[in-house]
Amino acid sequence: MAADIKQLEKKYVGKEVEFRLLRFAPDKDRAPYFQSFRIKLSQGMTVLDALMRIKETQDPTLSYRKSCRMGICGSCAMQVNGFPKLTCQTQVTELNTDKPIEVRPLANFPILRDLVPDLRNFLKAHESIKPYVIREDAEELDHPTGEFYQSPKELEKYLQFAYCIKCGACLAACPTNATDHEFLGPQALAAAYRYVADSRDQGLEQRLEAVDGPNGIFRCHYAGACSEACPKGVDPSLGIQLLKREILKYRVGAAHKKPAPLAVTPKGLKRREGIPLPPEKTVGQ
Amino acid sequence: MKFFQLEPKTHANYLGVKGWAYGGRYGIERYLYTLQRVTGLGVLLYLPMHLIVTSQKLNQAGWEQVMGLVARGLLPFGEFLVFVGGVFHAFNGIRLLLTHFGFLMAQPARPIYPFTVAALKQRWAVYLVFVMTTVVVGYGAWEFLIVAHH
Repeated sequence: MAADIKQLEKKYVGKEVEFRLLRFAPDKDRAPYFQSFRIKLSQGMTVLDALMRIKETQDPTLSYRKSCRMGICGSCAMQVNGFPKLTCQTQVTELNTDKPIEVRPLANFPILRDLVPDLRNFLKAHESIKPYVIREDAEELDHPTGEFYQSPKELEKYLQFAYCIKCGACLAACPTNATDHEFLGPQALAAAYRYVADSRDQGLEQRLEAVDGPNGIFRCHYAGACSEACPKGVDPSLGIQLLKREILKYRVGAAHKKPAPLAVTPKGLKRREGIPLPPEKTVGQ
Repeated sequence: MKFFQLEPKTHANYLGVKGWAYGGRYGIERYLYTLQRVTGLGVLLYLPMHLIVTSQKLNQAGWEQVMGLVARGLLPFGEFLVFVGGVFHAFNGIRLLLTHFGFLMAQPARPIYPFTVAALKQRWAVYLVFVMTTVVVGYGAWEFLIVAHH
């Protein structure tokens, strides 16, 4: 792979590459259109770097979202040559094409301006699944007296889905979202599973209204595209199918989940010499 | 104090039905998603036509006349295509049902680069669908297109 990158860099670095960017100014354009820019590639240049270069040197009106530039914030997801990608993690050379590189805003989201998608409905969907731990002992959550037990094995059940950075790439890849604008979407559904699978949570019933509605989880027919597009390896389609199983178990009365109990501080133990004291407790003081 | 929010002007950017057909560089499951819908619609459209034809209260001569009409031209081949679609839809439907309830799925794991997806771990089920469909369609082709015409 490293040798491939070296070869690709040798092939493209220093050459001029054409970028076709979708432009749309809501105050003056009736419809989006493509505009071409040519820039010289430098070593390690990402698609986001290229956009910044274009903005700095050719057109300061070009709009796009970015923040961390290292695949953490999820702001810069765009369609690069028809595939949703984090532009900060996509090197231009790895696209390995002599044709113009086409950059569009994420598909299946309305366009606000140029390469900026409107994420409001996406974030509303995420909010609707109640993305937080829900417990019957609400008093303990509001005024915690300790921590909840959770074994490493229990953590593994949901950790993968907790890596979601909400970039929206999964919705851009989803064929159901392409036609059903009300569909909750892979991100929100995988996030719902992240909490349902959490051993501390008791909120499946409360989430069902949003998750199991007419535009909910059973509109997913497992195209698997969301998982392929996810830049963080979250695998939303896996979470969605596992959530379907949890819902089925709940509907047939076979869901028996005991929420994680409070961890009890061991008493009567003597600290060995040389072992440093634990940090101050953050709850239950 | 009263707050108000400006409603920004946006432009729709949904892929629409084109988004079903254009699988691009995605895996085979995305194409099967579309094929499952198309074959489902095909079987659904065929069903009322089939029911209308076969529910006619006809005497033997009338029945044979109707059967003679539907055996003309490309109609038997069309019927065979419905059969192919139905067989694929059934086998792929079983795969999807099992998948929907998490039976063919891998277990969640820490995402470590290079990432893999659970769909790849059930690719064998996709190949099994193709094999089963091919076997049944092969037998059907013999019955529909060869035996029925001799």
